[in-house]
Amino acid sequence: MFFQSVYAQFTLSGVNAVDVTLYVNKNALKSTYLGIDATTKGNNIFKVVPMKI
Amino acid sequence: MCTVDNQEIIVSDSIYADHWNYGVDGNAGNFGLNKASPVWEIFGNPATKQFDVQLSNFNNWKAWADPTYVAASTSNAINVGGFTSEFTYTGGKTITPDLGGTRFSMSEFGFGVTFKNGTSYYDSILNSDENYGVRANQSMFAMNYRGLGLPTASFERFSNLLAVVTHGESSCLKSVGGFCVLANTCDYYQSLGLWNLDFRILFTGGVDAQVLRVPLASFASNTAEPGSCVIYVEYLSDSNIDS
Repeated sequence: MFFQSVYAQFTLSGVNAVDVTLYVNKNALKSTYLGIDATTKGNNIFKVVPMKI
Repeated sequence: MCTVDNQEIIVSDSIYADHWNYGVDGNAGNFGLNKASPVWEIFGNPATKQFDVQLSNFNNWKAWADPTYVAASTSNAINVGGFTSEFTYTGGKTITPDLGGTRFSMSEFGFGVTFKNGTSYYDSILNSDENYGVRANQSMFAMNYRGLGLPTASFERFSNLLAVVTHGESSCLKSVGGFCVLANTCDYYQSLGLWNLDFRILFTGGVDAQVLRVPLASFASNTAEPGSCVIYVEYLSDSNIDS
């Protein structure tokens, strides 16, 4: 299922040389992203809100 | 695997070891075209061996994850001996495994969200367990694995985060082959924003410093019998070589 999001090219050369080039699969969801991620820290979405009893 | 001419046919029904992963047991199966694979004899054993992997999705994402989604292709392709010219891509990221092996190091591996306003929030699910030694914080690609496998520390962390963000609607089974299930079908969670979450990965050992974000929805699927949404983020047992 990882490869549903990513298209991968494998290159094997030399004695132990392996390169994998990853691209966004054209069938991927549009939120799949590969690039420079220069975001700043936003709100914590995993914050637990205690129940008031 | 077969070819169009009268050439070697390779068939296996059990995999006990995999040269792709030098010296690592492969009881659970691991499809890989390593350099020693007989497949390359068909292509004349070129000095530089190339193959690519393009798999279409089996999910109807339009129905639940992204109403605007339109599949670009329904075809799957594993091209051996070169890269396909069928697809055009930009922005590729090249990564290399550690020590010429098959494991890729990650400096960041988080679960969270990138907001449209340019901010983001991710909690790390890196596996820094020192018991893994040099294998801590490393990853592998396996074409025969249906989802995302996480070792104990990472799986427990992900399970907790998923439970928090779904307000307790998720259940994750921590046994070999265990995965996570949500109480309702996948479409129920689209309006709640769950499919905006993703895994954020920064590999080391590459020539650039680009991040990869893989949507959580990529690992989700409605069950055959309607009623729940399965997330194929699966538990890898520390003590079981099959996992």
